[in-house]
Amino acid sequence: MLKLVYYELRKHFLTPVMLLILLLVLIADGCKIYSVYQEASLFSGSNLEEFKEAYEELYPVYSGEITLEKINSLLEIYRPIYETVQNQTASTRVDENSYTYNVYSDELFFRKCFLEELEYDYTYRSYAAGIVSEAKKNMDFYQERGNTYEYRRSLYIGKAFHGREIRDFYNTEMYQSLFYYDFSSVLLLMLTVYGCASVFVKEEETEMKYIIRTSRNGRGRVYLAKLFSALLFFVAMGILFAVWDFCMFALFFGGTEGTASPLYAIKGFKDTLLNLSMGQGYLALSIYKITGLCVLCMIFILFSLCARRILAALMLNLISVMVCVTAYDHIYNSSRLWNPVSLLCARTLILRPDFSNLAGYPVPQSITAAGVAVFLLIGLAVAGWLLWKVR
Amino acid sequence: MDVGRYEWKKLMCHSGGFLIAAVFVLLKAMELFLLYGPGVSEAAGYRSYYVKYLSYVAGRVDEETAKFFSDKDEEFSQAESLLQTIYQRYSLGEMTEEAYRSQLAELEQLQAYKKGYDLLYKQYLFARESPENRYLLDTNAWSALISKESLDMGLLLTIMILALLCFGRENVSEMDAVIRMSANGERRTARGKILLVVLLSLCVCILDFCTRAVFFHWGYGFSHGNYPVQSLETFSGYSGSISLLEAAVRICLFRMAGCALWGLTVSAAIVVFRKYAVSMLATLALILLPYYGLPKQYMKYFLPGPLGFLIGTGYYQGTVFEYNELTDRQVYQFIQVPGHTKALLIMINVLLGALLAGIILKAYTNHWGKKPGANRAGVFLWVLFCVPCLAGCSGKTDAAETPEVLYNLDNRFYYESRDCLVYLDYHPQEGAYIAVREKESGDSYALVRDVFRGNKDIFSPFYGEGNCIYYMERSYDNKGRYFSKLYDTFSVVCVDLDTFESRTVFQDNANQEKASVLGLGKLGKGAVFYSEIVGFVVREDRIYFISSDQVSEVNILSGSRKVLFSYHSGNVAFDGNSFFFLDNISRLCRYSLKEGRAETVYGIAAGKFLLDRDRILYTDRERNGALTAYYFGAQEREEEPFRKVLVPEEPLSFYSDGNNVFYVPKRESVIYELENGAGSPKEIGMQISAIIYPFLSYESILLPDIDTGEVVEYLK
Repeated sequence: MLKLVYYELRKHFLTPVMLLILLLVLIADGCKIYSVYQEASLFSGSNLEEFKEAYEELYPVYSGEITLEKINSLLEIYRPIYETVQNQTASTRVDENSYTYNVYSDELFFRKCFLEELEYDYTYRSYAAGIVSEAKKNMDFYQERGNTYEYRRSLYIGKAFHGREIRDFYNTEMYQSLFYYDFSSVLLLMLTVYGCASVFVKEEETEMKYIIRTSRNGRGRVYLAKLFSALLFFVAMGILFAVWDFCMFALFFGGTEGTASPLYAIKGFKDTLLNLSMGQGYLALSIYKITGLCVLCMIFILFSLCARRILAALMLNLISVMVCVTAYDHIYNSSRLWNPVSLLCARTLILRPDFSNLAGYPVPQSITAAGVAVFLLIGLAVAGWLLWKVR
Repeated sequence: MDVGRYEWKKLMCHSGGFLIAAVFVLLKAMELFLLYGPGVSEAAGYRSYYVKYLSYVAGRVDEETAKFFSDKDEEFSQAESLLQTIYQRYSLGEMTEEAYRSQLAELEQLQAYKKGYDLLYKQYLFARESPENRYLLDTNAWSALISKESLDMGLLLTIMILALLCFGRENVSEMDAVIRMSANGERRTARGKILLVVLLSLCVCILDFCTRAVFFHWGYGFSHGNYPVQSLETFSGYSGSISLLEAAVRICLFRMAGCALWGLTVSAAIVVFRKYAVSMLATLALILLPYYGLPKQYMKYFLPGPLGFLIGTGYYQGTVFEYNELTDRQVYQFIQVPGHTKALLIMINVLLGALLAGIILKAYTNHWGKKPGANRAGVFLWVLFCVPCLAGCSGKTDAAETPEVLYNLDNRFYYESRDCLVYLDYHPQEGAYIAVREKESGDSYALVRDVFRGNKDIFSPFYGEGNCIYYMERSYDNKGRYFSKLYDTFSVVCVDLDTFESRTVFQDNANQEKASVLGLGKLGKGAVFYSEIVGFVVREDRIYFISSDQVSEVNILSGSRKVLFSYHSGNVAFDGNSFFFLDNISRLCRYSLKEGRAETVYGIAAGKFLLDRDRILYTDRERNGALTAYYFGAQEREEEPFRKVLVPEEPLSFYSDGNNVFYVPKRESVIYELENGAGSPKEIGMQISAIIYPFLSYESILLPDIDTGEVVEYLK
């Protein structure tokens, strides 16, 4: 069986054309990451040299665990600068004594690079505590009204947010951009559209399918082998891209010491229900994306089974992608989870604290989505098997 | 020549080329009707006035134009002031009935003119900023023709399919070896095909341009083609001087060149790769990756290749700066392409075209390599195009007649259900919140119990129907680390009053910076619209949003938005089938949803009005603002007057709970009650806040005290 899988892999996916395309796509991804770095990072432009220097000086002092002494010393530096800026009378000429160019850019520097983030980190604990107390109030309220679903939901939220705090302050720029980076998913999608089209159509086109089906391993094992080879290839591609993205981002932005910080240290993920660290969060995101890709791969293979020409299979793949994207835009209730694109946009699943109602039990949508994905995978595999048998 | 004719017949007749071109034109026409049709029909109402005014001032902006506008302004403001006083003068008896009617009719006409005038005035303000090259003209048609800056995928795909069919069919049927062996096989066939593909691309491009030009001429009409191109907003920063017609022709030429180059690219790809799939992927990637992936918009106009030429509009746009607060300097948003760069690009593209043709000629020889399998594209392809989609579309049931609905915009802060009273209350620290009070027990608590509401903006107006309360909320996008918060999504949430369970009914992406799906969906463009909403009504599958001067209808499933009508300020009422509102001459109008148009009803001229189940309460402007009640369905009994004056002086504000009428007169801060809408007024208490909540089945009216946060009750 393994030999069969390896053979199918070599036949469809490990061709020179495919590998060349892969290489080009990786380079395109790298270029796009570089342009994201140029746009989003504070330190990318060459005209902010002073900012960079000042940051390199001050960051080792203030990073790490947040203690009161650090905060106080930072405020001692910041307060006089802030007061001077309030008067609006200081000159805007370049000042050698300031940390960056002049007082105004100093104020901006301290505020944007240190203070806002520190404030968010420090006050997160009280924010989480506030949410827990609200959840408790809701629990009592819903218990009076006999609404068990909402009661359980508030209980879940209370438990998830209990005891949350951000202890350390790190430069999270890299993770900010990494979590919001979607271009590699688009590239992978294009690759899948192209790669899966020919899996079954090739047999049809070369009219080998009759011969294959009459062979000993023909019916069941060849089908499974093709399926596995496709899934294997795209899972490997997904992992490759996840690792490649991470390395590229680490290369350009630097600052991976935030990996152990909790996920909610990024402001966009303030309300996430997952109590994971950033590294684990990225892992979860990648796993969701790969699962979504697998589901889409199965759909494309299904089309490949139906089609007789490769152009038709390609067109069907493209159209189904466009349809999925449009449908995702417009459908807002839980049936959104049936759309594989919602798995590719896993960031929304992790960001938002949405729940689905399963027989009175609240299940966070991230988990429901995973369940739906597994179900879809199995269902589509069975559907494909029926089609293969029939044709 | 024979070869050329043969290839033409092969492509057009036998491979379905004519069919493809016809389908393309059909789809293009449909798309134009769908996209622009509503706009054309909407504009048709006031276009005649717009065109009339334009005929006076078309052309350059100078002192004459300025004089014309200031004269017109004066005329309109005089009419406005006349309007203010006409009712007063009539009710005080200073005008005769005839004079009143005729003047009213005149003023009504003037209001219709004003719409066209306002449009022109906006254009005038824009043109005034740079009078040398911004002229006044009817820009609708020109904008629609040349201002769109997106890649036409239909055109791209059509040319790609035609080129693929022309060059690729013989590979699949394995006739290519035979063809290339024949006498004319190599050079002449290849030349014939290249010529065919280039000619076809040019024809398809011209067809597309002509279809659009014809449609817009029919819908809007082209005029003044000799005015400078800066009169259009997209091209307003351009530093050269060409006329509109010239710009249109040049953009068409650019597009034709782009199409020809694209056709050549696809042909070269398929001749080299000999497989449909790879060539499709390669060429699509070549065009789409830079289109979506380049960080700045102007970059694609500086690169050689078909992409920039296919879009064309960017070559006549001017430089735009944007201010970046962090680095305290201007950043280029768009850079104008200088003339020599354009010439360079044209040369490079011509060279590229020649190179591609050379590649095709060279590669069109016999290679005894691997051949792909059998293929008979054509009808089967198109049948498979229609395979239904897989992604979660459910069938729509017929919207049943919903129970009685009565909504007044002025009453948007309170609602009464079977067991509860819902109203807007004030907390001294937290501000306004929606409170629910049970009628029997008297407990009150907050409606919105979402644990994460600190991160969201919850709007004050709400809508109640049956046992559900709908409220609007907006969430923030905290993505940007260095810049301020953006509005992310806008949702309408429904809360059931029995179980207090909430579910999202409608959601829209209001984020102006981010497309909703992986950068492939559409950008959120509702941010401004959603921030101007003052009230809303939820029906089965659509929501009517009321902003301060118009009412729009939004389809819940598709999110498409359509403006229904504009109204002058004041109350808007809805009774399930039609909207009631006041127009700018203070007449009560009704917009019927079934018929889709507005008309004046009941001959009421009102300052303010309120719709009840069986009557309309209003301050009659023809009787100096007396509070009057107009009863429906009382026309059969002839003695009972169906218009009754309740209070002769104009009140400051009035309320109704369905049965009793409450009002506050102008000179006192006391609330009076008229029991059952008749009889003499009874004083019931002091007015401490501007808002009163009269509930039908409650024995007192509630007044929220903003300062103390308490709710005061007065017995009816």
